[in-house]
Amino acid sequence: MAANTSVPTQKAKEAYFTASQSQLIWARFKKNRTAMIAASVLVGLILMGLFAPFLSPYDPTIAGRDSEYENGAPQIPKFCDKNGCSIRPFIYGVKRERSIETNFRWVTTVDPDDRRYLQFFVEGWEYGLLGSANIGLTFDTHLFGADKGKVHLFGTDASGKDIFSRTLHAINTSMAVGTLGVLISFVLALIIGGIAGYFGGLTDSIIQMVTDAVRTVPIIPLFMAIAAFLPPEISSEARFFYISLIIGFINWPTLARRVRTHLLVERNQEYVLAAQLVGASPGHIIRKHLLPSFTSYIIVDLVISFPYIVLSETALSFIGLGLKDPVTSLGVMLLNVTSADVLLNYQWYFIPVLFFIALVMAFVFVGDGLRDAADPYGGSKK
Amino acid sequence: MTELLSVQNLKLKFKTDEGLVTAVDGVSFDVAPGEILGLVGESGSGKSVTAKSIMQLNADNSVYDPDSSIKLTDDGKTIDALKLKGTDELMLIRGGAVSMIFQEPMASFAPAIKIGSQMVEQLVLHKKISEAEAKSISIEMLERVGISDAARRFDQYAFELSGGMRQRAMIAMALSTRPKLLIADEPTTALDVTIQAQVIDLMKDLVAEFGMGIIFITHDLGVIAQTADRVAVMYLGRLVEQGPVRNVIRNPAHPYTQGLINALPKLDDLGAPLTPVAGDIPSPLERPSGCVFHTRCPVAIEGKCDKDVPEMFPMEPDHDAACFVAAKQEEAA
Amino acid sequence: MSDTPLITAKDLCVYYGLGRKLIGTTPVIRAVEKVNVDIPKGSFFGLVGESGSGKTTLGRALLNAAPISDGKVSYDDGEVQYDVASLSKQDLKDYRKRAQLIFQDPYAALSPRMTVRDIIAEPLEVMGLTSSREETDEKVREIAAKCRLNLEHLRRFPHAFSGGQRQRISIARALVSNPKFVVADESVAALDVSIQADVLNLLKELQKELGLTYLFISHDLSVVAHICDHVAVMYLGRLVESGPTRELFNNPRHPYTQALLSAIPSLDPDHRGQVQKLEGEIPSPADPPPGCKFQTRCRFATDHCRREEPKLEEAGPEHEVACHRWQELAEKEAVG
Repeated sequence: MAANTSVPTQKAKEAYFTASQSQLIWARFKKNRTAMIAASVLVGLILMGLFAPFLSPYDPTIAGRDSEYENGAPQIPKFCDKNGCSIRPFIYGVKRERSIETNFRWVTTVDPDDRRYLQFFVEGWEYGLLGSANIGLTFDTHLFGADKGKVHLFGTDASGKDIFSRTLHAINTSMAVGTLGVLISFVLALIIGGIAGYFGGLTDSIIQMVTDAVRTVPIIPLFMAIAAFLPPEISSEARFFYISLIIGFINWPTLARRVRTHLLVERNQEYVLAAQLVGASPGHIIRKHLLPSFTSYIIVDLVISFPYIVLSETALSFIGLGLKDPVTSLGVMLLNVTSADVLLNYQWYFIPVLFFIALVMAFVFVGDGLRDAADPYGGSKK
Repeated sequence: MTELLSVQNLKLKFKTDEGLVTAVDGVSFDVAPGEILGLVGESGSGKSVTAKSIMQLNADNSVYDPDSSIKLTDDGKTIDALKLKGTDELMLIRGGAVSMIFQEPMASFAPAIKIGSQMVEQLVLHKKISEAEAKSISIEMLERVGISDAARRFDQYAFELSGGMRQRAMIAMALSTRPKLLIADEPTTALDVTIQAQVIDLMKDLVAEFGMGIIFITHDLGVIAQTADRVAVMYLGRLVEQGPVRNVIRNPAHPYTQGLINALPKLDDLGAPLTPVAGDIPSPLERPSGCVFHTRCPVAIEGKCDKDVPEMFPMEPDHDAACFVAAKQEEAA
Repeated sequence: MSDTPLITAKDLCVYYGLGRKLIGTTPVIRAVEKVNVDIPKGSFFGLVGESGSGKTTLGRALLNAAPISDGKVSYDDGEVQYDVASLSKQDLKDYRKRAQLIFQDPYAALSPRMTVRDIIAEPLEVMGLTSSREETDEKVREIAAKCRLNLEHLRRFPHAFSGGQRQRISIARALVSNPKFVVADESVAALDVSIQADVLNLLKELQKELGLTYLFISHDLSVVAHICDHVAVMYLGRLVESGPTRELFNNPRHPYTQALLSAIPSLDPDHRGQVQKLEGEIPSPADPPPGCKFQTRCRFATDHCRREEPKLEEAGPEHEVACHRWQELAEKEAVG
């Protein structure tokens, strides 16, 4: 019988029967190929962001500029050329000149005879990892560099800053803003939605009115207004913090509404009544029944709202109201690609855009996959 | 007699994360015009899935066996329901020759559309008549099913009606297109007994009046005894017994049917102990081999029932049961 | 029975406000109105009625899980006595051990995030009935075995179980604190027929073994007839008839009880259409008719019924009925 092939072994069945909610979600998520690919891309991007200082050969700020190579094209490492092959990848040195023949514009010419070999684990500028600088722990080893001159995998911008380094740091910044924003909106949502959902009634009505009011506020003008209030002289770190704060305060209502709905639904479940009937305290019910009942959904919500928060930051920075140089965020990088000059001559400026798209897409797909997986009883089979 | 509906060897599997799950396994039955066929079974027996196959309403992950056929004879033309493709062709069946009513009438009325508009819409769609005509047919139909003040109800929303009224309105909607076959999926399960009695009466009247065939799906043998002409008993996707309602209920041949009848509390003998069918219904993931019922069967023959799949053996004229033990007894008698 | 009843409800009323309005008075639903019941110790007390009759609310009020608006509920198991409507915090805790609820829907009543062991153990842990994990496990295994659960399945989550097994888990949870009084609210309604009898037998066995008193709420008269020794019929928040099961089923006095009984579909295919059908539906409890609540659907209703609400009267040994015309109708039936 064909059905026999589909009958799982006893052990697998027992594992399924004793699987907890999160294990079931994970088992389902694993089967979703798109989501798994997106998840690995996402993990890759997050690691790249976290270890940006180590992975990037140069300081992303003006301090790391390469004055010899402004608006330089990406340099692709090679193993072979007409002069023979090498185990160690190399790039070519460049010469820049301007003369009457070039109409006094800087022109760079690649010198194929000037091989510059890539070195690994080279010493460079000092940095801290994951905040280790605060406790005085710094490193100066970088994954790679060139033996002479500098290597720019994604080229450089107008002031000679390495776009590769900047992209990595931008991912880091954007994720940090996103995390901080999500965290703020999550805490607000949990408190406000929690109160509305748990107490219900009049409290709920009033909170819902406020939530709806906040939801109707148009975001861009509000951003502009708040950004105008930020004093221009504050440090980039403070600015970064304020921006996260604003984004967090704008994004909570959607999440709060979901928390409230979850609570309203779960609160009336019979198993909650069963717990009340054995005399369980509200604290016990919230801890043992309500919170576990929607943590998986909340995590899904968080993952889904993450790209919107990254987008908010990007949009804000893009219209010039968010982060500014020298902080590198994906929005700041996007701001640089708006001129026609870039479109015509310096297409490599768009490389960070690809990373930005990849990041948002990865989040969306992972969120979608998680959402599908989080509802193991949704697609019930008869 | 020409059959209205002929289901032959229906096999259906669902593609799921856990693999192919058999939902219906070789089910065959016929429904004649004006006949009420009771389809009985517990949850997971595949009775709803079987009925939905007729209208091709099963989820996208369903896989029909190529040998399965569902033939519907309508005005001398025979339609193979499983061969229909696309909305236009399916409309021949869905709401055309076949209508369906459900357990939860609230779910079959769009909450934000008036009952009347919904009835008119489907009539116009299927019968190609004007809206005015459709409206008069709808109101007439609402009156026919015993809804008082039908013209006013026509302009109400489903949530404004009580449960019994909603079920009546749904029956009116299902019958307004004059289907040849009505599939009623647990139409009285969600209703109180007093209302259930009203709805059963109504359905019997309607069959007598319109002469359509009805497939009446329920888990309640009492309801079947009161409504059906013929009964088909399903267990885990297989038909285990089929025959005229009197024969099946008075002389059940299959141990499962016997178990079901014994498990029912009877009002005429309050002192009688309740005898459940032993064990639990196996999960569809672990379908038993051989006769699907052997895991719970009190008379199963070891080495036979757990190996071979019993076919339908004739018991009495027109009364079949898929059981080796019953077949042997019948032979001996 | 000379013993004092385990549960006595006197003029019990439960009212619910319907929605919250900022201005004006809120309409009140009288879900349970002036109900008097005595549930004797060790009885299997059936409570029957259609949806909207207030039977669930009554059951919960007896457990102090619905607001008691008026009247009195007393509990007396020989060890302790409680006035359920006004329990102190400490007493309520103790009462929860002694009075428990088994739910209707075995799917909604079990938290999908907890293992079977944790679900059954929760009452013990919350009530502080056990002092160590070993003791908890011991008690969980004991009650699980009594409820015929496979002990190897205690590690599993509810999603692994069928309806009947889930209901047994639900029963085990209700009984783990060793209660005296158990309200079973439609506890077999969601189960398949073949399993239903199994759960009913289990309830009966457990009653003998643990000395339980049940309030068995159901809409299914045939189930109630089989398992209960005493039955009360509710309609629109009122008790319309109550009595020992056999007495009530053999001599139903209230027209509503008669209609309910005759509406049960008979298993005999030739016994069709010989029933007295009840027209119409149960009115909304927010807008009940005046007089006898059943008058809108009663064939025998007179002006008297429409004006005045009947009180429960003695109609036989322990048999009470709330109908103005029951005697008259009974005589007519005896003659005709």
